[in-house]
Amino acid sequence: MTGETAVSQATGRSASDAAPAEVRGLTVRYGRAVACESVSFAVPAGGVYVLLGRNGAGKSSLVRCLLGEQKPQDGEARLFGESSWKHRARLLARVGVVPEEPDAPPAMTALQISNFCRRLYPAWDAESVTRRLARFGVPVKTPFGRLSKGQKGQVLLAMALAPSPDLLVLDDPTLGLDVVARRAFWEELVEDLADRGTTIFVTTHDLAAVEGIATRVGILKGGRLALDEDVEPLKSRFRRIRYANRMTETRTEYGNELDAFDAVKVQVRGWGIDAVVSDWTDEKFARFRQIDGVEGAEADALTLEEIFVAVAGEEPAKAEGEKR
Amino acid sequence: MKALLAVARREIGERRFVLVAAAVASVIPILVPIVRQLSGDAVPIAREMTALILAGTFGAGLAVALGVSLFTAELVSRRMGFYFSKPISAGALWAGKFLGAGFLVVAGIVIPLLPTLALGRGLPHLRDFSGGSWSAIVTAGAELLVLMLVSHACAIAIRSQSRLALFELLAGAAVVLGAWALFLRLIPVWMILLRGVADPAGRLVVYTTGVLAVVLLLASYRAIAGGRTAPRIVHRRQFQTIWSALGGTIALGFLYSTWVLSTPLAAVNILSIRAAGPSGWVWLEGIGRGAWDSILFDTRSGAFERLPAGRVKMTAVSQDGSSAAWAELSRAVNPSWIFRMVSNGPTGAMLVKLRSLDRRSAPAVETKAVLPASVYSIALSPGGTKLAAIEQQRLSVFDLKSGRLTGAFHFSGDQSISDAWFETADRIRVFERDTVEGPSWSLGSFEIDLAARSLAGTGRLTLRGGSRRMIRSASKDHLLIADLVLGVVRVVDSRTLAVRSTISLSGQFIDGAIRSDGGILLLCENDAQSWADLYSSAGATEGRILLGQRHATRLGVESSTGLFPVSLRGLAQEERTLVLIDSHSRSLRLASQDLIPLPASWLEIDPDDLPAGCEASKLFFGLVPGGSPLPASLVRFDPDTGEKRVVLGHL
Repeated sequence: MTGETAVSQATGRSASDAAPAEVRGLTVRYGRAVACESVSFAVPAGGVYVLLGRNGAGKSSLVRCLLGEQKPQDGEARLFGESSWKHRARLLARVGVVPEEPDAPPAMTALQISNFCRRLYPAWDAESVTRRLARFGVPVKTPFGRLSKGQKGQVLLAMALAPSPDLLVLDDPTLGLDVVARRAFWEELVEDLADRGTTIFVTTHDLAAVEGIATRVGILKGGRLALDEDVEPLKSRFRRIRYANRMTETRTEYGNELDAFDAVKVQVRGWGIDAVVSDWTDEKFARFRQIDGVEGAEADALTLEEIFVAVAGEEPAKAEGEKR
Repeated sequence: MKALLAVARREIGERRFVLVAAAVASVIPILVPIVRQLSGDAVPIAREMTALILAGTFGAGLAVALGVSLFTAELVSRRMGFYFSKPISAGALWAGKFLGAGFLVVAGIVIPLLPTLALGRGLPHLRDFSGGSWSAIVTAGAELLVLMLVSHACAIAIRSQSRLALFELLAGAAVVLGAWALFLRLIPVWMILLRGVADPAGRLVVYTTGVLAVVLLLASYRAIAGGRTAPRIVHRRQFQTIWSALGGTIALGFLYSTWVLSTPLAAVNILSIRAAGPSGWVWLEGIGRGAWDSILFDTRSGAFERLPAGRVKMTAVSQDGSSAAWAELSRAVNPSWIFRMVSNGPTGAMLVKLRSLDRRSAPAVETKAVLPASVYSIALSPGGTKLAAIEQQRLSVFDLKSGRLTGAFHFSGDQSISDAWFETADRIRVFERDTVEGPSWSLGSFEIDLAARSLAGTGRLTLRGGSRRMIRSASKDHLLIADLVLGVVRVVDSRTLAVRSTISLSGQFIDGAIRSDGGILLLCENDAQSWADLYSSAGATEGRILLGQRHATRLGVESSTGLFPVSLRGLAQEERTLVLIDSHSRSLRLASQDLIPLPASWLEIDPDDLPAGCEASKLFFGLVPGGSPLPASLVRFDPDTGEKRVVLGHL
């Protein structure tokens, strides 16, 4: 199995029937260009689903389809078991959204935005908005267009959380924010999660920040879903193995000792071999260490970012906008 | 509904500066009379005029500005997601935005008027400016809505940067051409009906604007509901909706026009029938499927030819009854014709179409002759080879095969051509009469020799007196000129216009005819009864036939045996009777209770032009016995044999 193919088994149909968010065979094209093709996954209730992908991998198109803002060419996006394209307005009463680009009208103040939204949602907690914004230090009477990018993100997060949503959709919400603003954003989110157990679907490049809260992860590569799996089993089966191989003539090359593993990435370093495998087990590793010529073998757990790099192929671009 | 109102409130709130600007502008009408140092009545007039101009300009400017920015600004700056990521339906968003914009436009019109309304207790001079009433202002408001929608559609097309925008011009041109073609096809059919409608051109504009408004509203909604946050998809949906709706409307219009133009004869409510020559052809006119219909119909075979109703200006049948021609308006007309035609009838160059009446199934052919708009009457030569086009003081002759003008003859003076006919293929007789009725009356007779290209006066007659009627013999050799004031009938030679004899009327003149044997029949009546006086060609009395205590209402065409049908009506009731006057035996006999001759005023050729015993002399209107006095059918009745047959039974 390689990084080009889905590493995990797709979520079973029966388990995803009433998933807060789900896509089935979703395909989005712009003319001849394919943004995403036949993508299927489900966001389990109460979990934090992190969708990863390089710029242009199709994440934002997928999010727009999920929110009923865009109609896919094929397949379907569903919220709470219903088509988000057909029943968008009703379903979004249960969803909070933080978009990739802050899209509130520039002339509206945070207070006006809150008042506008108050009429749209059945349960709007205006007090929570002012409380959060006060905590963030965001002025509530300054027009949205005059706020800094970090403040805009904080305003939109406050608005997204105010209706006590069952599902929170965050489309690269910390894109372009400085470290302090990013940390404040995620801390607020974690606090809300701890309070209510809201289901979260997030696309981000800020992998370090979501590492601690993600329960499931999906990786889009070239418009296709290359991986869709719960985080714990995912992290337990991915390992970086470093070793020297004395059986080869030049000692920096490797033979067939890695055949026992599904090696998704192998690099030859000056000191030996550096490989990432996706099916690590203690037993397999024990056997691996017994192979003639393998010396000094070590296995290290991988971060989400390292897994992403191994699966998606390259370093993820950081803090860059994704072109729609 | 809450979402709709929330969006509308937001729209108004975001553009509240418009209301402030309108409030500031409302002061200007008060300042204008002061600045211009006006006094008296001029003050309220200047104030109202300024306020109305200001309101109109403000409203129009707002309509365009709001139309351009309503959705487009948010679409292209990718801020539509703000709405679509919230529980707002596309319909509520669309309606809320338009409601807010509509409110602003209305406020932009009303606010500048408010101080003027308060000071003048209304707008007492509104009628002087608007040419109408408040309804004119309401109409203008509706047109501003359309202006806003057009601006919106244009802004979406341009700012979406979609390649489809290039096709907008092509689609627009195709729709305009299609609409124009439909207009040319259908409006002439409706033209005569439209003449009875007040301000038809205005209504046409209102209806067209209405259709456009509905299409643009629909397109705008579908674009937003289907495209949502993607500008190009929004534009694609708008493009599809606008052009498919307009194209579909035009296609439906063409289908409808085809349906209207192929109305079967049985579905036409016939309003008038005129004899088209002696051979039994008639011109029918009526309303079929809501449109005016004009049909050339053969009473013997049932064959018919539909004329382009509304575009036909004049018709002619050759004296021998072998051919019919009509002049119809060319299809190449300019747009101003739309407005002129509904008020004055169609004008412009005319094509000439010719149809053989001998060959029943032969369709009409378009000749190469083109007539100028000033032609008001035409005459056709025997066999239909030449056409005389009559203008005020000019007669032009066209060869119909080549379309060439073969001769033009000018008449001078204050008189105009009243009648012209081909005596032979190369000889035309012309009557020229005073254009204005005066204390004296002058008639000129001319003869045109086409072979020699000569025009010669053959006689002139000047008579004193007032109202008169002129009746010709079928051979056109003689004229009867009845002077209704002096109570005399003069028998005149039609070529020299010499008076042969003068007959004193024995009662009120009803009608008269020159018999095929040269004798004269005059129908007269008084309050108690009616009668027919018979005279010789020299004016000598031959006898009188009493018609009883009834009114003589209509004299028909002489039958082959010297019988004249006369329609009689009871003095005190609507009872109708058709009697036959036998001019030979000087007797009277009852023909039918339910027939009346075709009226002379509806005949293309006067009944006295029709030769005795011709097929047209056997055409009558049929009445329902004891029913309405209005004609119910067209009947062929032969006075000689008594044979009766219904030709058209649904008048």
